[in-house]
Amino acid sequence: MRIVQCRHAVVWVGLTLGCILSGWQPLQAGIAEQDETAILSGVVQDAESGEPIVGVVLAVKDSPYGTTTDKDGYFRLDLKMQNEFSLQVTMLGYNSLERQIFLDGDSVVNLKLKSAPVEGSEVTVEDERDVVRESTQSITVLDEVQLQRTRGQTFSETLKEVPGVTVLQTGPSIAKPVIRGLHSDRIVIVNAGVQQEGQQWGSEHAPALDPFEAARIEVLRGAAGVQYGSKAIGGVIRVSPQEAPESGGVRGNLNLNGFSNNRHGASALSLQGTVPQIAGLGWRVQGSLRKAGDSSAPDYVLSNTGFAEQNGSVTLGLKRQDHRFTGYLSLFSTDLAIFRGSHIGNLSDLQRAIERGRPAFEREFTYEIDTPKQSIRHVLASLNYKWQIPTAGVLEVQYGWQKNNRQEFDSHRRFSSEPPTEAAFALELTSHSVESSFKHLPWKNIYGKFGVSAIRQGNVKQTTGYLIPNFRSYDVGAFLIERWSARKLTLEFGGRFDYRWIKAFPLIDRLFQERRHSYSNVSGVLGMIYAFDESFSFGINLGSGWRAPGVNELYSDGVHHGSAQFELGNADLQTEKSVTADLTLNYETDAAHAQLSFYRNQMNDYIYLFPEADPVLTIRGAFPAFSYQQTDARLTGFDGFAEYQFLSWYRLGVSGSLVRGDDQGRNEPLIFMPADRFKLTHQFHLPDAGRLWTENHLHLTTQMVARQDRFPEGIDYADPPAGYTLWHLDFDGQLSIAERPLNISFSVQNIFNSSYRDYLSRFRYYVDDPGRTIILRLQIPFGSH
Amino acid sequence: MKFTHILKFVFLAAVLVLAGCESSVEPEDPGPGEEEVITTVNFTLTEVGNTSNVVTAQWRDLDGEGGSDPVISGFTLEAGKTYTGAIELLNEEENEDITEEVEEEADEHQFFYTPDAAIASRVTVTITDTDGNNLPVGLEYTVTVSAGAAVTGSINVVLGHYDDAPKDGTTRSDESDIDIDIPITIN
Repeated sequence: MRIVQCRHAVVWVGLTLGCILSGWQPLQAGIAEQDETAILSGVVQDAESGEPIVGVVLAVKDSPYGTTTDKDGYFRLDLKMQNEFSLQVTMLGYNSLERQIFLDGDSVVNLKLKSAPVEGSEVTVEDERDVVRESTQSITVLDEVQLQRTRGQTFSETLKEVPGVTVLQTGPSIAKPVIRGLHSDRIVIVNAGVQQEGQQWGSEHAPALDPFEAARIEVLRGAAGVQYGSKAIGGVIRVSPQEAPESGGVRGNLNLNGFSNNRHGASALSLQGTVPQIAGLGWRVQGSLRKAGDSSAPDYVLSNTGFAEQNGSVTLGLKRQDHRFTGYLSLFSTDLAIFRGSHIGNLSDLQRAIERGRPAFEREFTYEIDTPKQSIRHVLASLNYKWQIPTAGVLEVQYGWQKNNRQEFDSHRRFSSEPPTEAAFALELTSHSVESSFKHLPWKNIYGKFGVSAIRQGNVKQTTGYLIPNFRSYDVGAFLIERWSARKLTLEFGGRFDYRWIKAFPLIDRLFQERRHSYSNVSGVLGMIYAFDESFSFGINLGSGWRAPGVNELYSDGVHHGSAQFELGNADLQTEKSVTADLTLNYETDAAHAQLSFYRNQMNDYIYLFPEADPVLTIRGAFPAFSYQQTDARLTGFDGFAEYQFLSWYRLGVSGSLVRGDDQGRNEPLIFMPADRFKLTHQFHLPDAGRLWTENHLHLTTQMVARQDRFPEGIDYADPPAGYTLWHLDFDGQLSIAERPLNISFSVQNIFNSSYRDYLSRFRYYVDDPGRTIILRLQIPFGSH
Repeated sequence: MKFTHILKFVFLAAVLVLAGCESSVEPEDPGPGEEEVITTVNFTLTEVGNTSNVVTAQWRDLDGEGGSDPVISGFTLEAGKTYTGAIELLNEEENEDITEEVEEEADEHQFFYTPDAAIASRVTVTITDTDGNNLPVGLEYTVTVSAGAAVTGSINVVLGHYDDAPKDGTTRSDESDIDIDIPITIN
């Protein structure tokens, strides 16, 4: 049986690759060369001061084309419309920049150069402005500088900065990103080009990603089914690790972080270099360790909330002429303690804990990870091949392999005080994915991309506990997305077809029985961007997405860990569909920057837990019963930010997000929607202290979260908690004592040690969220460059 | 060009090798069986001074949590009598007596017997056994029914598990292993 299955996989992997590698050969000859020219122009500015820079050299790599900027920092290049090319930007005293540009018409590219305090180093800084501008959808990019400010925290917490993103928290160690009110299986997370697969259906199952590894994170809000297939109903989070370098000697970074509240220490080391003997071969290795003990709320210790995490990754990149190969392997491993007080017997136990308002038991601070706990291992391997076919476009083939092991340990075995040696349940999910896309050269003003993808998954439970059944699934999809660009207007359209087949072995009438399902759906996207001028543009996007019911929604049957509710699956569920309409305004000048998005996400056959009239009677007491059902739901809202540089040393920023979720079938609000939030940031640029301390910034942030007043009556155990306001202070700067400057940051989060409970904190029934923490971060770069 | 051919081959080979790295257990197998459960709670009351008068009650759910409802048979007690009681916990699926496990961990368990409002003034339950710390356990108890008219009600039986917060003899635990209601008819 097993051999047959394996051969199956080999055949389809082989077929897909075969088609891709051979099938596109004729196409390449079919597209005629373009002889039209286009104008590439823009302004080069100092990234800090915003002043234009005179005399910057801009050169098209491997070509005779080039120019320099004039006294206003302006440049103009007349170039042949051609394949993707590299624009090299160099200026004495500044870090050089290299940008990949795809010229499909007259374009404006504004560049910012960062001053190099010591000497010019080959740091590639991608301009986030272009990504944001080129997307008709609402998108936010977190670059390395922004990520540095949240280093050491969980992956989801680093995303809290993004408007429209909130966090679903299960104690201090487990956090899941929520985009515009949607999370878990309604969000796609892409790591190193591969869709992350790891039991994401569980609201206390955090994404298995090393927060230190991300060099760049893109958050796409709203349905994006065409590009990302099934599950991309609520949004997409793209995580890109640093690529292997193409040149330079051995160099690296050491990150050290300390957090006072839970005495959390984190360190990460990355090294990269090239192999001189083999031209074009670059490598990168990275590893990180995080260890934390019990967190504390202002009034008590949150017993058993520590974690210990070890991660590592290796990247190899080889570039030969028009070919680029990348191999990537990452290992993620974490042990997460779960708050002792959350181990609840039944509903009346839960009500007693809510009435008490604080933990029944409190232990001294310890790093000990006791039961209940989760142990997660995630391995991801990917191989990527990119071929720049000079007369046709770019062909990309990617293969990903993932294995996710999840073990959850209960407090103890029933009737015994002994800590369990075996997990209450353990699941192993193995996923293979193949994806191939072809980005063709512009034809007239149209350019775009088409591709195919396939995923094969197998889920195996390894213990007696039944949570979700074993299953085998296949997903295939094909998509096309094209853009038409004129001077000020860009139009986008695309479509996709997906098919999913699943065979599961649920427990029905006390016997494991085989059940098969198949689902298919068409997704589409229509978008436009109109740029009034260089600084002001708006985008409209109408995108659809869909999701097949998850295996938990089909076949759950039992009390969900700690939530004191009996969840009943529903094998008759149909696919869930969503259409998002999004209007994004983007304004950016030297002094001001604003992005505002308004959206409406209409979901048909939205799958949710619906309370049943009768509780389920068990030996442990009566549990309220919920079954998975479908309704029509609508999410409307707004998110965005605005920043203005009032003085050369003072910048004010505001950001906020608002979601309104409605169950249209029952005509009442959806449960667990993030409360309205608003943030005010004062940023001060402090003077340098000689040449020793430079780039000094101080941020004073006020985070205001309202009470969630919109919730369905009579379902939740406790009403939403009160709103809260938190104050944070952050300082960051560069210390130049060594050859390369050290980045130092010092923060105080929740300065006034306020007690609060967030509505999306799953432990808000029993305890407060953690209190004040003082954070110290050091980034030490070293090596040649 | 030859070099890239080799690379394509390497790529393909790596894909095939990884595709072969499947789990040793196939998802096509249904997997191991169900978790251990308590299926049955038996109560036995013996009249004090008349050992031939034995009253029993049972709470039984053979298919575990969910599925079909439990089958419950209540007590029929006589007014003005006192009974000595015993409780037995079974996993009939595995033919296992779980009462012993509670006995062994007596210092971390306690039963709570709470008559409902209808019979609260008529029925008194007193726990007669103690653990090593001289705190009540509840595997043994007496039930006293005062004289009066016929009435029906029920008694709530809870087995609390004390893990972190220690057992003090009166406070309920946040972790109830058992929480059931047994009907009582007083004649």
